[in-house]
Amino acid sequence: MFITIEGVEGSGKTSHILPLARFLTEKGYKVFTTREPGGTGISEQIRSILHNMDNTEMHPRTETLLYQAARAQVVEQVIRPKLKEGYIVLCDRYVHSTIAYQGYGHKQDLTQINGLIEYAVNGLKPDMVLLLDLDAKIGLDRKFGTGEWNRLDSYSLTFHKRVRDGYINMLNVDPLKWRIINAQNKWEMVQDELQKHTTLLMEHIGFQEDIFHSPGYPLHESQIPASD
Amino acid sequence: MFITLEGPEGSGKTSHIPQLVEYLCERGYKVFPMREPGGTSIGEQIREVIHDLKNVEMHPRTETLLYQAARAQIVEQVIKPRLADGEIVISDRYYDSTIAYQGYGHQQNLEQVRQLVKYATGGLVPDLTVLLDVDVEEGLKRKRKDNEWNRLDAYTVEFHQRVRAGYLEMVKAEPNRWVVVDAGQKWDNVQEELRKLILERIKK
Repeated sequence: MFITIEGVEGSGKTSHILPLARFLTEKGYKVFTTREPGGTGISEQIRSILHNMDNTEMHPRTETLLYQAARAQVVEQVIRPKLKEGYIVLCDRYVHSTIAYQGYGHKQDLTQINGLIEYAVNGLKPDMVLLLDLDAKIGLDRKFGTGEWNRLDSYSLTFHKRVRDGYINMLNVDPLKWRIINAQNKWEMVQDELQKHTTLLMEHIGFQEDIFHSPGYPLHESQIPASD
Repeated sequence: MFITLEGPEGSGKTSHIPQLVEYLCERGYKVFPMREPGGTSIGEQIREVIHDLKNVEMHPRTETLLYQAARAQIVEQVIKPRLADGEIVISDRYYDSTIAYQGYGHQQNLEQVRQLVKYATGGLVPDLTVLLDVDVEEGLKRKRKDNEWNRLDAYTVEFHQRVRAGYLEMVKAEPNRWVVVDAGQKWDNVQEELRKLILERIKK
């Protein structure tokens, strides 16, 4: 089972992953966590290029391609093998970050972006996307306060607003796969919701990798839109 | 004017560029030599990752994407501004290398690779591309002797043969852009041929 966590800067994604993983492990699941860009030695080397404050002249297409490079590596070296071994893989950011940041944020052509992503991941899609939704301004204020400022955060507020709107668009296009969580709530409440969504997915669909990853797998009844 | 040099390992591309540049400068042209995947600070950082011998587990798609990232940067930061200033840009490898190495060598989906390079270059095609063609085993032998061995050279001979065959196919597909020079000749002869054909093309 492949679960990704998405959200704007400062939405708290990273602080939630390990507690969520611990919760699932205690329930008896095998859990593996990773982050994008990163998760392998090579991907971490790429991450440090992306986050280097000296690299201010980085072109948006360069940035997009570096993310895809790190992604191709973590998909092949880590995520696919772990999924095969029956792990729940929790990933801090995945393809939807690219669509949100490069597509909506930098206003690159969405069709081209999707083509690049397809090349990078070779068909590997998440089973569930957890969106920690937060007003862009609040998120940036939070991050600025923690000293975790990196090159990407220094883009304008309107950029980060477009990113958030992009996430909401994607959620609306594929509502069965996405879960939205209000990240403005207290940390404990957010964590609680993440645990609930994950538990529901695991308990109701079960851990049947082969079924889940084939097209037309049976949906959980809560995921089937009411026929009114 | 945008000129690119291509060729398999050990074809001598890199060794020819300095004197070629000097020759053209003496004739009053403003020339800018560059190489891929470096040429910008960001590109050099990427180059280090690609050529790091520790990174043996690098997936072919990762490698391809890293080359494209360095390329997008160099196109926007270096090549386009120089061309706009009327300079002659001579590049040691460009996107044809990707098609040859990743498409033909690693046998990735050629159409996908072509789309990728189009994204990376923003559609910037060279005016002239010279293929320094050399027998694969001869080329690899030269490189080993020069002690310039890197991670890429450790691929099999068959891999490098596919690369060379790929180059030759590309020449056939776009004969107006490509010129083939036999890099098996003496170094001086190769240099002379390069000078002649490039000068001819510039004057046209």
